[in-house]
Amino acid sequence: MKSVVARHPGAPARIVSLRSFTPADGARHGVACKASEWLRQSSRNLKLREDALVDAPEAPWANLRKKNKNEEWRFSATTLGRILGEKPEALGVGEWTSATETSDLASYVAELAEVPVIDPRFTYSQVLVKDGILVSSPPEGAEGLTVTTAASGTGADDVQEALRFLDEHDTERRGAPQGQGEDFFDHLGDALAKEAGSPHLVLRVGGPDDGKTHVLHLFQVVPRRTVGSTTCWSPRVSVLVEGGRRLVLVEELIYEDSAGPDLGSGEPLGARIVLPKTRVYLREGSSLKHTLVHNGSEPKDVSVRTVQVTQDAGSSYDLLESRVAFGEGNPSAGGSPSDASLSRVEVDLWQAGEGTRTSLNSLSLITTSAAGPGAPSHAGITHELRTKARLSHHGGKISQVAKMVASGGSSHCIFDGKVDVERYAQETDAAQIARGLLLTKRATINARPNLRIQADNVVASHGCTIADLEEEQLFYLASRGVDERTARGVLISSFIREITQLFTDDGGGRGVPFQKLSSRVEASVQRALELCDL
Amino acid sequence: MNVAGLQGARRSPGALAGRGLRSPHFALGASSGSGRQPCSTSLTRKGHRNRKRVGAATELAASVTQSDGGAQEAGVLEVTNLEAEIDGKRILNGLNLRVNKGEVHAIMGQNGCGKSTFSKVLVGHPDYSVVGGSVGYKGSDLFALEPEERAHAGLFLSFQYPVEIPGVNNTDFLRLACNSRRKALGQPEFDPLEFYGHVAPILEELKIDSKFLNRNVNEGFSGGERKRNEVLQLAVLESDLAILDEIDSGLDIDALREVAEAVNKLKEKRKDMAVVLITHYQRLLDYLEVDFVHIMKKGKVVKTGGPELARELESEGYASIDLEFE
Repeated sequence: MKSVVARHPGAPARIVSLRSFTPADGARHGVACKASEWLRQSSRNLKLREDALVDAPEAPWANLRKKNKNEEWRFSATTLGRILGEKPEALGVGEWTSATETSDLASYVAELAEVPVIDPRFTYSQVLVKDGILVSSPPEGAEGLTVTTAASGTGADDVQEALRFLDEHDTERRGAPQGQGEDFFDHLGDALAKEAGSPHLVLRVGGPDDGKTHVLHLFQVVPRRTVGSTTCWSPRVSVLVEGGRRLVLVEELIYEDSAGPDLGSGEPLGARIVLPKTRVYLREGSSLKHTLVHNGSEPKDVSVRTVQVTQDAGSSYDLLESRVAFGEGNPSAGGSPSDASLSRVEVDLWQAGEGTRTSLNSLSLITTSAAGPGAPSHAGITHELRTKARLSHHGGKISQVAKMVASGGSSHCIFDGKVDVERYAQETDAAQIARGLLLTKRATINARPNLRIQADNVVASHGCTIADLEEEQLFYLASRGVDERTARGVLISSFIREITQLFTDDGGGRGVPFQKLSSRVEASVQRALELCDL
Repeated sequence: MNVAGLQGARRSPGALAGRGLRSPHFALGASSGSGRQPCSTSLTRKGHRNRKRVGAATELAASVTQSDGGAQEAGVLEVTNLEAEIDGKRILNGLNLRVNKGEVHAIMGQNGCGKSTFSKVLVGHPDYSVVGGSVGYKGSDLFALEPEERAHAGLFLSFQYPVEIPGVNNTDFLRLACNSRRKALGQPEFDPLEFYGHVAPILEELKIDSKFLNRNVNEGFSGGERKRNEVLQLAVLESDLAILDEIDSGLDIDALREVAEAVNKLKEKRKDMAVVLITHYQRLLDYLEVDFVHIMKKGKVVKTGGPELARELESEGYASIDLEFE
């Protein structure tokens, strides 16, 4: 049995202190910039109350030299510090490119959305989330599915009721002794959601079961970065599924401007923080297949996605989470160390009823290549996955597979998964495996599979493997005439197929084949493989 | 110069001469000349002026199964004084062998005599390093080629222990291998449908279940299935020289017969394909017709003969060879 991971320090220094690395003044290297000024400016930019950020817990990138490091950010605080801490800018809301004004959004969505299949078992609809704007093609025949924004206040009682219920549950979970202490990004996201009118989507599925599965494809369009401030955006989704109904929810982050706006001014663009949050409550017997997709990576992007799930008796939750990122350029050739990126996904799941089913499947593929003169330099890509699953009742089942591939000296994958089998969670089955492929020197994977068992009649397993590709397999392929790059590509693809096949698997896997989404993921994988150093 | 090679070479002519040989196209470590050209065989062919072999061995002037002038193309594989090691340990000590187009050779020997090492060196396994000698393949230097280029040139090794590749479909794998070679040869690549057209008759001919195609490469395959999958790959790739490394190991009698039949069928169809069988047992030779049998010991070929040599070995054991040479 592994020890419990230490939680966020309970006695928070409730002030944001940021470190400036410009040795401007003061005796010590790195004098904290004037926190109060920074806060005031950020609050103003974000259209928040003056004191909205004052209560925030300490930012994870502050005080990196402190001895007792923040356990939650143990592996990624340094990266965060490089991106956000070097020259802290005030936070501000971003803006979107004009390419997809409201009128164009429909076609934009149509381009990305799946070709609707005529299948009586499903209803398929798309929603595009931007700056509080929401474009949705009305789901035809989607009885029992309500899609609305919290801010729109359509007055629909059932939506308000759902929202109230979820809020109460949220408070309850936060207050529980097992609950997670609030972290800086939680606070920032909450403040944005409460005050600045960030897009908040509410999904409620209920009503009599007509045998249909609702499929909702959500495109979260990330604002472009701005000059002089760090763009902050926090789209939220609240999901309540009742009455044994089934929902398939796909959340896909879309970065519409890879090049950014006109750079004529010559001023460097600021960093970007995206904080999507999804909370899910599955009532008795209902199910959610949840897919999270994040392809590509831009320097100075930080995304921290949180997913909070509560499952009542007999419900099932399947998560498919895929992140593929690649970068080229030589970090030592004149690039700034702040040109790194961090993507973090936190899943906090609670089996709060008997006989619940959970599966968590995730893929993280990063390749960074030193090749390519003239290519935008990328100082490092970090993917982090933290999952916490709490089993509290009899007969629950959870299986987790985390696959990681890191190629290139500035690629870093982090996995920290914890399964907590509590005292009354008898006759449960918990399986967790993390598998990593480290393809080049200096690529990094940190993995911490973690199992805590307090019940005495359970089946549980956890494990972790990290390896390079098998020499014998490579040689076998070479002896059949396959060149090294192709052979490596074939073996890496086969390694991640366990996860990627879930996108197209129609046989009981995801239930719905996502052809276009799958080909987008596949295209990213291919691009990443091309950049792999041999 | 390799002394060990020379010593071995001096012993062998007698042994060789004693056998009724049908062909001189193999060579033992025998040489009447300098150690530099220990053996070689191909000298019956006038006009063949391989610079390494000029003036070499003339004692084997017998038989010519190949027509004059065809030496360059007829000699598929020409191994001369090959020395190789793994982790600094010498395994091959001056091995000589010549294989012509369409011939079937069997290499036999005790465990650890270097049979498998020889096969791995030929296909270019990275763990082995060649420290001496040369291998000519179709008239050019084999070691100048990368492993995948050797495959493109038509060299095929059937692995003793075929590797599992979970997650890779057998069809995709076969098509990838086939297209890699076709591309290298400047032929158009097969699309999936064309490839099926290419592979379907082969399956039928070799009596291989088409379910083979839908499984992952060697994953969950039985010993016999793995070996048959190797033969299938050989057929699909249309290689010119097949090295079958212990294709009989781990097989029961029935599976052995099936695999051997598949090889026979293939051989029937592609008469020009040369085959080198590596085996412990004479049993395999009951099913496959071989032209020559070579016996390896301590990293070189010590005795060569026809199929009767294998039978002799089966009845008397490798000890008889030892006696002969000790």
